[in-house]
Amino acid sequence: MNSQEPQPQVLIVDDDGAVRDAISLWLTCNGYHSRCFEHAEDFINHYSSDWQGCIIADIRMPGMNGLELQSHLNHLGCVLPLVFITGHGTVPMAVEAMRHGALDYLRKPVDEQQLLRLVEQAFALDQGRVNQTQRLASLTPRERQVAQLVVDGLANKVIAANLSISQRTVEVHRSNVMTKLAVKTLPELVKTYLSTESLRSQ
Amino acid sequence: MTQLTNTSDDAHDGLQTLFKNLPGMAYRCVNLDHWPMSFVSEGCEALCGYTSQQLESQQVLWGDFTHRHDVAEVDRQVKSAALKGQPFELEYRIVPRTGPHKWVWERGRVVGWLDDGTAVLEGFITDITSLRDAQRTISDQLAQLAHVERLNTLGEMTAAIAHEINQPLTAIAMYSKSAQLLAQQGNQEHLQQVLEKLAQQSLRAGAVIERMQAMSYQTSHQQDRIDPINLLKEIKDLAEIEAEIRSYTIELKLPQELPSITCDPIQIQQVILNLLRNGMQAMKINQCDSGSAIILAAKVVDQQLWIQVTDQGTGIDPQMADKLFLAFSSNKQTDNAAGMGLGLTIGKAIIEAHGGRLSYHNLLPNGAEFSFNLALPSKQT
Repeated sequence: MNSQEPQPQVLIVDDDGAVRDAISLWLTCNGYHSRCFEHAEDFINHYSSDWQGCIIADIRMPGMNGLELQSHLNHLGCVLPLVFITGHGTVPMAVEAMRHGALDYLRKPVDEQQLLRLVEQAFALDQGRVNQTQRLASLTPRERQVAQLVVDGLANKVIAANLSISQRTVEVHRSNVMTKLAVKTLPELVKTYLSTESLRSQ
Repeated sequence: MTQLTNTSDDAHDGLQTLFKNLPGMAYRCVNLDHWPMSFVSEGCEALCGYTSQQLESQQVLWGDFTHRHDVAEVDRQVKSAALKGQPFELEYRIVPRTGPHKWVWERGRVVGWLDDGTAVLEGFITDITSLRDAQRTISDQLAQLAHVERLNTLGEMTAAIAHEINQPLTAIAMYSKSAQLLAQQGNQEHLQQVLEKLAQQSLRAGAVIERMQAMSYQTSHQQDRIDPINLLKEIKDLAEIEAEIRSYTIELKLPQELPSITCDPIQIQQVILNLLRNGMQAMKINQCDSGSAIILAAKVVDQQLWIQVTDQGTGIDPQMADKLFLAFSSNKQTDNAAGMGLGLTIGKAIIEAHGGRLSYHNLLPNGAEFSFNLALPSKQT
């Protein structure tokens, strides 16, 4: 595995070897990279914050179950989209998981087309996050300061006074921020900045 | 002399009256094939439809109307007892002159020997058909009740069984769709591997169904010679389906070998399954950690096979102790799968019908141990 340039992969967490193997095979046949974990603890031990893609996890597992894994990952600041697999009788748990930010859940026996659709959706979501993060990372420290103050609702004049720079310079920074974050309006800027920044701060 | 004769006649009359009123037939015979009778009391006509004269004149022999399935065993037991000079006690069937077969109880012993060494036997035979019928009715009813309870148990296990079957089904769905893609790509080698895995998963699903199927059968008074180790392993597999979704394990503690027992295997497995499920429910209520074990153990003590189920649950509330084995007294309010409260009642009845006893005691600091015994067949037979 190439750790220099992380590529999106489907991270499968399921205690059942055959289910793990079969899902992984199906995804591989459909051009996805995947990696399997036997239980939640195994996943946590290997977890790296630069992973991209999505997680598919069984809700019912011995030891740490799916919900506990989710809460653990939330604490770690993991923002990978999470799809749960649920069996008979664990649907209420899946609903609970959705309330805590899971993307969706699949009922067993899993419909393979639905699985592909969800993985595709999850990858798109994660790619959007990665792009945003990269854009935000491209801001200079000064641009970041300006962006933060714009988002806080301060006028250019006030920002200039705060940072002891000219109002003209603030306008230039502000324009650069808009370009780098690929947004055109102030509300767009606020939305993008807040969502990306809240991901980073977790 | 006259006096004496009179007294002896009186005694004879008295004996005749006694014989007449006996609820059965007293006899004297020689220990030869089919037991030729030299004396038979009057009760024989009511018992077998032949007169005492017919038997005493040896027009008919007792062995002629002993049930053909039982005659060899009766013969064997009488001969063996006669050889040792011990009394014998038997239950077997006879086919009377008219009407259906009857069950009889016989007790006899050797009272002397003829010159040629043939043993002379005396004894008493009585009709126990109505007792047998009553026992049979009770046992039929227990079997029916036990069957209903087994179906009920399977009903309660639906969620666990569905989960256990959905695992291989999920794998099968993915493998088969992948196989289609591999076939399109012409990837023969990989395709072979996937098809092999596919076959394994369908066997796995089949095995789950097989495990539960036995429990759904109606039993038929089948008292089989059973290897307890197989019996215990089979039921552990079934109970494990449920242990898995509760994240508990079942630990089997068995000696290398156990002598075989005579029992209705499905009913005995039913009792064990019930004890294991109760124990796991108690552990759930006691919030035992996932991975906790419930122990199923067996050992032989004093010609008895003891089977024990030890949980780490809440133990039995002393307030429940009196009514634990009573019907409809379930303790499982906190569990969705609250049963009918018949499991232990039926379990106790099954064990008692097998001649054993089901009992329990609480453990410290927590948990309960339920155990029951089954007699091992004595070594001579």
